Amino acid sequence: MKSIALILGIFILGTGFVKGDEVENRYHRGMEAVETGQFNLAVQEFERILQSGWESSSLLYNLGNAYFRQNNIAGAVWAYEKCLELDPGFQDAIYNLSLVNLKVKDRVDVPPAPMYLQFYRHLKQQFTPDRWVFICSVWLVLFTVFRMIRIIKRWDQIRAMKITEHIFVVLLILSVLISAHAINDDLRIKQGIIYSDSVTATSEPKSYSTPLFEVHEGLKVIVIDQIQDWVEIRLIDGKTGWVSEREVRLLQE
Amino acid sequence: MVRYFYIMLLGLTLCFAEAPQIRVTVDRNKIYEGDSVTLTVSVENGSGYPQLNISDIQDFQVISGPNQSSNMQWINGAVSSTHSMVYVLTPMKKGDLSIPALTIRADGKTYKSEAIDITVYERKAQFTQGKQEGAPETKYFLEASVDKLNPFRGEQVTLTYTIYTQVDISGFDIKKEPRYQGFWTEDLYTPRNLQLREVVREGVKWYSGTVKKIAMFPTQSGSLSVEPLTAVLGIRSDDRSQRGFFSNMFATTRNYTLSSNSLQLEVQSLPPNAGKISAAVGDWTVSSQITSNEIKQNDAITLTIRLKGRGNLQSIDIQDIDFPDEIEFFDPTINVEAHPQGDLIAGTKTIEYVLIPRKAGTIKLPSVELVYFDPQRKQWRTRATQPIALTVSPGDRSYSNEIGFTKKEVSLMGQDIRFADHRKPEWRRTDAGLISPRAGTLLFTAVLFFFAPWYINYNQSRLAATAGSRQAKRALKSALGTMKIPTSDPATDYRNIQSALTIFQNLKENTQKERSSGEIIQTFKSHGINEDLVLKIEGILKRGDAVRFAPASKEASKTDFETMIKMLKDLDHGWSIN
Repeated sequence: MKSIALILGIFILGTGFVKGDEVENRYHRGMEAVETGQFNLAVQEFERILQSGWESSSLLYNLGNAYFRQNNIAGAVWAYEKCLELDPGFQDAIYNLSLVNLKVKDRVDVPPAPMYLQFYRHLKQQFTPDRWVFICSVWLVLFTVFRMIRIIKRWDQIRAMKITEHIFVVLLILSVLISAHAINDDLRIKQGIIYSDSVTATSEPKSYSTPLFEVHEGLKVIVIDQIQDWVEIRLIDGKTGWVSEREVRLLQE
Repeated sequence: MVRYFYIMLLGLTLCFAEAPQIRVTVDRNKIYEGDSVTLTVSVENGSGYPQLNISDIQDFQVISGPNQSSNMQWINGAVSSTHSMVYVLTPMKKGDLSIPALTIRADGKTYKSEAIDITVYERKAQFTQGKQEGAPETKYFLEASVDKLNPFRGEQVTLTYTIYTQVDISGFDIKKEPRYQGFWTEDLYTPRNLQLREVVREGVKWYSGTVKKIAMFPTQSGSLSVEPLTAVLGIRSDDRSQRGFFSNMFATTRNYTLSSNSLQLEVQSLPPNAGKISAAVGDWTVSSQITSNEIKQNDAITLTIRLKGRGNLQSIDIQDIDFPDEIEFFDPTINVEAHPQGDLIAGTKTIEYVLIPRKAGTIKLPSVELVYFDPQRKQWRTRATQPIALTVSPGDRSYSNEIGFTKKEVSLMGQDIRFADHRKPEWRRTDAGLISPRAGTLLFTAVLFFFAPWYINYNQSRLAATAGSRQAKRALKSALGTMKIPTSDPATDYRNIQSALTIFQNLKENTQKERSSGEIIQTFKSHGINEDLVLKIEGILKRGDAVRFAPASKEASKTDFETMIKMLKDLDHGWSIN
């Protein structure tokens, strides 16, 4: 038992960092700048907090709003997307992202997915991978408690108890699978936002190679490879091409 | 034999031939600006063409040559040959110019010519001939003229080249056109056949004809020059004395190279225009037209904008149109139709936008503005069309077929973002892992908890299974606990000894019963205890039984007590399970 407690202690303490007052001060200054309409200053303060290694969904949401007021479409899309990575259920961020996406020039259409797939994706996107792990843990604890009670009380023969236990098992398996999928997606798929007004994707990571297609600021792309100062991007309709690393701001930095 | 005769004849010919003679001549010594002289360098009785370097000629520009010609004559048995190099030179300035002495190499020898003086008269003196002493009589010249010398940037300037002649012209060919640096140009007129008409200039009768007309639009302000145009003029010779029988039948034509005058324009910059940037100059109107004012959502319509007027058709453009968000528009197609008005470039520029309204309702297309500079009025002018109202009825499709917005997106158009979030931020490190410590800890605990029932069950089973052995292991400890220290009463000590042995055996055998001395001895024997040890225990137990009837000494009971404590450990070791 002592060794378990020691491991838990190291795990919890090892991931904790001390956040200085500077971050809070900067955030307050940024919020004051937002209130007074000094969006340039607000962006500056919020970006400095990100550079110092701290983030929060509120910070990113307010950063997105400041970028939007500056008519920086790419910055706003990046901040809202990043915000929704931390808190997928942030309704105001979802709404504002929908608004700012109207201003993105590129609109890539893909055929609608089957209903079950849409439902699954919608369900998966409701929570972060971290939250899915939390949900798995809760189901596991509830299932264990229920089973212990059933054994102690000797309710083996009650049909309703058996059905309830099976439901717990199904929910547990589902949440474990979704958690695994969400974690895998997060580790495997890198995404970014086009940050320049207009970018021409080329067939090779060289400035003189054949131009393939043009994308504009604010478009969300999947980053599938990176060579020196070039990144290979893929659009949701499957087109791939190389653009300069400077043209894309990654969501998973 | 005949062959030897010819060789001898050639040898004699060469022996009697004269030494080479160099001649450098020009066709005229007095010319006007723009006219040309023909320089001929010939070698008589030489074996080949002369070699010379004409880079020393500074006052003239070579516009043609060198052209080579050779001539051989046999007169009264004497052979003479001439090899010539011919250059056409045009003066670079007026005044007394000279062709310097030239170094000429012929037949391996070097010769030096004499300088030739040439007088170049001012071009306009042509019209006052006779008044200038020594000036030659001019018969033709080429003139470049523009309709304005101080145009605004972007304003049309018409450049006309006119040939004036008093002789019969058989041909005219433009040899070198200027580069028109600083201008955007467009050809207005080039005749297929030169048409001459009679004109009088300065009291002198000439025949003149336009050889080229160009519309020029200055692309920069400041001093701009138009270089001379060079042409070759064919003139029929009227020297009847040199005509023979066949010459009378076919008129002789001689070519002359001539250049036009250069021009200097002072281009005015456009005055500043408040706010709106435009490079359009001229006189323009703008109109717009839409294919239909009532359409369905997501259907395409065409907005046609026509710019009509005079000026540079290529550069004329409207101000950027700020289409409403509900309208999707594509890059326009542009069509230019030129309809020159006399010498002025004019026409119509048509700009067509394909528009797709993405939202039902009334949509107002903004007016189209055209800002241009009117050089006649010398002021900026703005022309604008009327705004167009579109009535858009709901479409049949929820999605556009290509790149449109969904109904939900269209409903968001015109809305404002939800504003600041004032909640206290939940900070986390940007480099924190995917799984937070809280979730990780909970998962770890939950997994442990999940296996807890199994562990408890297993533990209980294991305890149940090993209860006997654990009790047996406890036997020695419990027995010794009964016999801590001897008392002062021998009877009590011996009772404790018997009690300890009973507890020992009960725990070893997992029983709960009273045992007599005989049963105790028998039990030890049955569990393989050493006989000597059993005998010693038997002795002690007998002495304990005897104490009840006859008192014993304290020393003896104390010794037995301590011996039993030591023997209990041996008993525990020697105890075997049946």
